[in-house]
Amino acid sequence: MMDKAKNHKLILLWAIPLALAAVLLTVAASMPAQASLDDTQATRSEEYTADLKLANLSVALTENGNTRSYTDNKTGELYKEPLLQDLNGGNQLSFGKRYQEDLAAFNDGTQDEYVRVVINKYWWDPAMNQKATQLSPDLIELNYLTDDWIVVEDPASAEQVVLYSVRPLAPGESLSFADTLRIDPKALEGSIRSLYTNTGEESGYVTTDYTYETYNISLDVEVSAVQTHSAEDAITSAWGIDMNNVAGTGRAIQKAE
Amino acid sequence: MKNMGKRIVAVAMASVLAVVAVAGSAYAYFTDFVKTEGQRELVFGYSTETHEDISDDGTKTITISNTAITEAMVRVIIFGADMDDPQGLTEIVAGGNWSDPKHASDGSGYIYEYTKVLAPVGQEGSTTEPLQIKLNKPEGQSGLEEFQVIVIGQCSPVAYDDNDRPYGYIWSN
Repeated sequence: MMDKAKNHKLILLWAIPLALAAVLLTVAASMPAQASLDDTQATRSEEYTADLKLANLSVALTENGNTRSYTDNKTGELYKEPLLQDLNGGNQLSFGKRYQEDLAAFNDGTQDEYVRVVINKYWWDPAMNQKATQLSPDLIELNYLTDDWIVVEDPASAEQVVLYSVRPLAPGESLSFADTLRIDPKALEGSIRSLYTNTGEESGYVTTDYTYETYNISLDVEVSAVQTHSAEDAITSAWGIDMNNVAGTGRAIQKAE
Repeated sequence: MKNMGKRIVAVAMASVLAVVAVAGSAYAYFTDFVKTEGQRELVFGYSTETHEDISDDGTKTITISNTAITEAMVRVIIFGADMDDPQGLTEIVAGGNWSDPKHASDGSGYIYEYTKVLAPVGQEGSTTEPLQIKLNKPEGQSGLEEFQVIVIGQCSPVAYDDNDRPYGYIWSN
């Protein structure tokens, strides 16, 4: 008898508030309709249409003004074309000469962004289909534009260089990070080889074996972008650096206004 | 016991709500990246051909032609003519882009460098301007000895200095 009374009390404890809430919600939902029916002086707001554009963060890579890599913002697919094909108009390359190689990051999105570029340059052995790690990447020289970029070279990796934009890129803005490419004439080092006839006498000409012969120069470029909101945390999270002192260089990335 | 369980659930839900409410900064950041690569082959096959044409009056005309698909720098080393001719029977005429003669380092012969880059074979500028060795025939002079003029043509890969000026890499190092 006592338990039944107790249960009854508990049920009422839950039921009453629930019922009250249901009533209140019903009244609140019907009030705007009721008000408009009752008040003949009520005004209707004009109809407005608004286009909602979601902010899009996107970056592309250009070479001498031509897009070489970008992301299709609808499908998310990465498109890319090979670098270096137009170097010296496709003609044979000479040593020591500076060829135009304008590499730039392009903001093809709709919001400001910070940009990082990772470049790997190396010699490639096409016969073995692998990197020729015994040859010096230092002989492939890119001229970096250090006014707008912080250059970080890894002493442990001769082939890799990382660059950080010192300021954000606005939508539609392009920022070049390198403008020329040069192959150091030291790549011409070799040994002179004389050609002999079958009789063992010297023939009429002398040839040279070159150390870097049969190898290709190679360039890999990766461009990444990060938002400017909460820049310090975003950059640390995405790239693992402190924007106030990038990789111990003493240079800082400017905060967005 | 039942009430205790309900209380724990209620406290847990309230805690979650409180954490969400005070969570100010976002923990996911917008990023994007693109990547590509490229290669270029380097061609080292340098070769040239030295031509010597002798006319009826004994004048030897020398030209050098590029026979490879790469640019080249060229020079000639001449033995036994002009300043190297003790009998004074020969004279070298090297105008245009031929340099003034330099004595070879080992003391024999004179070097004439062609200062302009030879274009790859088949392109304009792939052959040098002529360099002539003229024979001065003194009339009625006796006691002349036979002499020989030797011409050696050399080619080198082109290298460019910091001012973008070309030079022959092999004979500059």
